[in-house]
Parts: sequence; C-alpha cells; structure tokens
Amino acid sequence: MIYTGSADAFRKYTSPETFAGIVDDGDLCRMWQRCAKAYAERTAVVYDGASVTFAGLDSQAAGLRGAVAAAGCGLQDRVAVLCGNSIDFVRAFLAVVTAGCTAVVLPPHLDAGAVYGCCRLFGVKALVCQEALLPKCEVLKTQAPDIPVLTPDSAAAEAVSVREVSSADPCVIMFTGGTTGKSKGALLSHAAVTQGVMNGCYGIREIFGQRYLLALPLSHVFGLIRNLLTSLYTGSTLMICKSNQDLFRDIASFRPTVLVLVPALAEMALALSRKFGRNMLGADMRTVICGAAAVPQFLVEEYSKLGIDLFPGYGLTESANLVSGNPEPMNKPGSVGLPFPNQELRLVDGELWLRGRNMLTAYVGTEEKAWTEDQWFRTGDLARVDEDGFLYITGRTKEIIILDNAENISPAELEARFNELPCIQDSQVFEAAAEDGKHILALEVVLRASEAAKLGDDPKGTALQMLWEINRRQRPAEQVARIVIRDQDFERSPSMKIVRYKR
Amino acid sequence: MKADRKQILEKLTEIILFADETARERCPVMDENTRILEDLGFTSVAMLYMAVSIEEAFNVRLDDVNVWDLHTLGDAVRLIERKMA
Repeated sequence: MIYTGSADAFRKYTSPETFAGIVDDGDLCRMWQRCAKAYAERTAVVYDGASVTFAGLDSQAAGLRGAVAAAGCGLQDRVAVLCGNSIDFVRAFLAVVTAGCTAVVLPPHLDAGAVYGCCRLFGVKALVCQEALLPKCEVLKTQAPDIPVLTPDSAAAEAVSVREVSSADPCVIMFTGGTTGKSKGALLSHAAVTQGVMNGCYGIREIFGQRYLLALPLSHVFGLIRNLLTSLYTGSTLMICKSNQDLFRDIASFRPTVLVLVPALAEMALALSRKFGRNMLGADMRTVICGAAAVPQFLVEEYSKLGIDLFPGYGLTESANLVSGNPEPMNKPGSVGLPFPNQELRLVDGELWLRGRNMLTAYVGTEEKAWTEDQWFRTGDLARVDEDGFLYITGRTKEIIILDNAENISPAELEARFNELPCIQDSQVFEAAAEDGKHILALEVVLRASEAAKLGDDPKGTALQMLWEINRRQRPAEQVARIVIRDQDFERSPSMKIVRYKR
Repeated sequence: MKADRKQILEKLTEIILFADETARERCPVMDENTRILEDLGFTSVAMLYMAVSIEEAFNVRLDDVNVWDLHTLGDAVRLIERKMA
C-alpha cells in the first residue's frame, strides 16, 4: 500500500486566508523574487546587532550574483558556500542560487584540507568564503589556483538579474552521512527545496510574519530549509543566534514566536525554566518545531502547559528536510505526523520507503545508491502508519535484534514504551547473554532526575517496579529478562544520540 | 555583597547537579580541581546549561567568554568571581 500526503489533510489546522498564502513558486529563484518584492521593507535577518530588510538583502545578493557570474559561473555550475551562521551565509546562498548555480554548502568546521578535497570531489567552479574563514581556503588556493575564491562582499560593476531556472534543475548539495554513515553530498532540485520550504508551513496555526530564532547550523537542512528559507518564504524575521551560549539572552531581547530545536535543547530550555521559575522561551513563543532525533511525549505535554505548541516532525537530508509533521501531538502521542503534500510513502518489511517531489536527485561524491529502480528511497527507518494515516518511527533496520526463536525485535519500539514513564530519561534495549548462554533481552535506563525526585524515599526501587509492570504487559517474545537502572548516562555521539551496545 | 570562593563553588555544584544528577555518581567530591569534561562527563548540552545557569544564578554576563575554555570548576569559580567584582 502506498500512502500519499495531501495539503487538504492540513487545511483544518490553519485559517483559510493563511492556508491560501502557501503558494508554490516551483523554484527558489522565483520564490526569492516574489518574497523580496512582497516583503521589501520588512526586516529579513538580524545578526550580531545588524539587520537587513528583504529589499536590502536582495540588493546585496544581486551584487554578489554579479561577481559569481563575472567569475565565469553560469547555469548549473557548482559554487561552494563556506560561511558560518550569519547574514553573510544568507547573502552568499541567495546570490549563488539566483545566479542559476548549484550551491555546495560546506560545513564551516571543515579544515583547509577538507575544503580543498570537497571542492575537488564536488567539481566546484568557485567558492564564496566568509572573511573570517579565508585561512581554510589556503590549500585550495595553492592546489587549485584556477578556482576563484570570492567573499560575500564581492560585487561586480554590472548588475546581473536573477536567472530563470526550471523546477527540475539542481539547487543545492548538502552534506550527509546518509543511511550508511559514509559522508557524501545529497543533490536537491529546486522542486525539492521549494517543497521542503512549503512543508514547513503545513499544520501550524500561525505561519506568516513570525519572528524566528536560528540556533541550528545553516549547513544542515533543518537549519537551512525549515529555519532560514521557511522564514524568508513567510515574510518573517529571522534572528541568527551568534552562539548557542547567547540563546536565552537573544530570546529575551528578540522575543521570537517560533523556534526550531533538537529535542535535547528543548528539554534544556524546560529544565532551565523550572530551575529559575520563569519561562526561558519568552512570553511570545507560540511554536516549537522539534526534530532531528526522537521527540519524547513528555516534552509535548510540558510545553503545552506553557502555552507552547511543540510539533514533532520527521525528515532527512535526502528529503529536503521534512517528510511529515504532527499537527496533533497531544492526540497522537509518539507520532511524527501526516506526510506532507507530494510525498509518497510505503512500508516494505516494516522499512519506510519514500518517493516524491522533495526527494534528492542523486548522491554526489559516491557511487552509493539508496533507491530502487522505480525511485523509492530506502530510509533504513522502521515505521508504522495508524488508521488515521499518522506515521510512527519505530526504529532502524540495522538495530533489529533477531532472537533465538527468529523473532525480529525493534529495540526503539520497545524503548518507547518504557520511555513513556516521565521518570525515564532514556533507555536502551539490547541482546545479552544469560548465565546459561541463552540470549535474552535486557533493558538499561537512565532516570530523569527532576521526575525521579518525586518518587519518594526509594526512587530507584519505585522506578524499577514501574518498569517491570510495563514489561509484564508486553507480549512474551518482547519481554525483557533483565532491567538495570544506570548511575551514569549512556555513552553519546556528538549529536547526543545514544551509542548502542555492539553485539 | 561579595560572595567568597567557597560560596560560589557551592552554588556552582548545585547548578551542576541540577544540570546532570548523574554527575554526583561519577564524581562524588567536587572541588576546584574537578575537570568539567573528564571528571563530570559533561556533554555539549550540559556545558550550555551550565553557562546559562551561571548567568542566571550569579546575575553575570558571559557573552565575552567561551565556556569551552573552562577546564576545571576552579576556572569557572575564578571567572564568576571576576565577573562579580
């Protein structure tokens, strides 16, 4: 069975006027031209005490677009963008894309060797580099002096107008570990990116004219598409946080209405609010978009008490960010929501396969292919869809445990059931050997300190009882034989994900 | 009123335990020599949490400081002391 997303499914969550405002520009060049005109006098971006209007940004981008063209870059040529989160990034990205070139977004933490390597690997014809990052272009300048290095301030004497492109043309190459963890580029078309931008608008009550705060890297699709481009598309103002250390100070001064966060930061904001007895996200905050990792239901409920809607979503770099969003997180706990328009999905042996306008055109810099002959992209995520069409991510295919009796167990699915207890911060289900050598399922958990404190004199003992009680209700093949409450957190990857025990 | 180093360390310890209760298990005794990453096992989110909490609890601003430059609790105490002076 193929499930297809539709705009109509999201209609009821937004006023008719607002919903009618979600228009399809087809490509990013048309989108930017329309927005720059429609919202000309509004402030588009604020950063480090400076701000720029939509018209101002348009004229800055036009200058750099001229310099990109003067450097000999034309339609579909690849131009790298090496800028940290800043107005420079926005200007460089818009200039490159509206020049009809494909923007190769390089993460600013790359070293000089990697910058050179990526430019070679991706066949880059020029590079736009922020002044402060110029030392990272030294190897490139020596090894490939034919590749011009521009700065965001570069401007040509002659203005060059926005190029006409078609929807199927390449728009951007984003870095990804993909489904296999091997680093490569995902090539996204204009159609994919504009679909991703529109997807950020569905299922949310207030969309246009918002105040966004950016705390995610712009070299990641969640930051670039859902945060920056959806903000521009909706005529909103985006404040770019200079450092995450300034996050709450920026919130206090800028008073954002929308925040796009990973769950770990959302939980931190909540803990700080409790500790200091005031809403650290500010009185104007209405919407938090949460993704890039599993969103615990506990967060949805706690944010709701603060009058903030927290929407869990699901997406990949390969899907130009969001595949689905949950417009009813209180009624559909644990779901990543309904598929967005033009998204097709199907489940094959439990694995989620995707097809649609938002999907990548190809990987670059690798021979790897993740899709089938009829263009289905295999996500490697295990999923299910409920009777109302809501999607749930239940684990990763490679995390499947196959028990002695050939039962396939998804640890993430089991973990989610234990994680429903507010006192459980995180858990891990894994295969262990019992004393008789037989393979058993084991569970380890870390307690959430603030909730565990409410469990009386023996929080560990009480939590254990609650866990065994949940375990008792599982079908026999899925029951764990051992439960341990850890004194220390699990080992975590840089992106805060639990490093799973190797079998 | 000027807080002394001992008071600052006590308040800082309280912040750390609120940020990460499990820090106590890893590091039963916290003093100025305690290393933030190695001994307390802080993650990037816990570091951020500590920075924001220091600002709130001590009413200081750390906008000119990179918290990743703080290696020990003693470094943090000295920083707070300087900021409060």
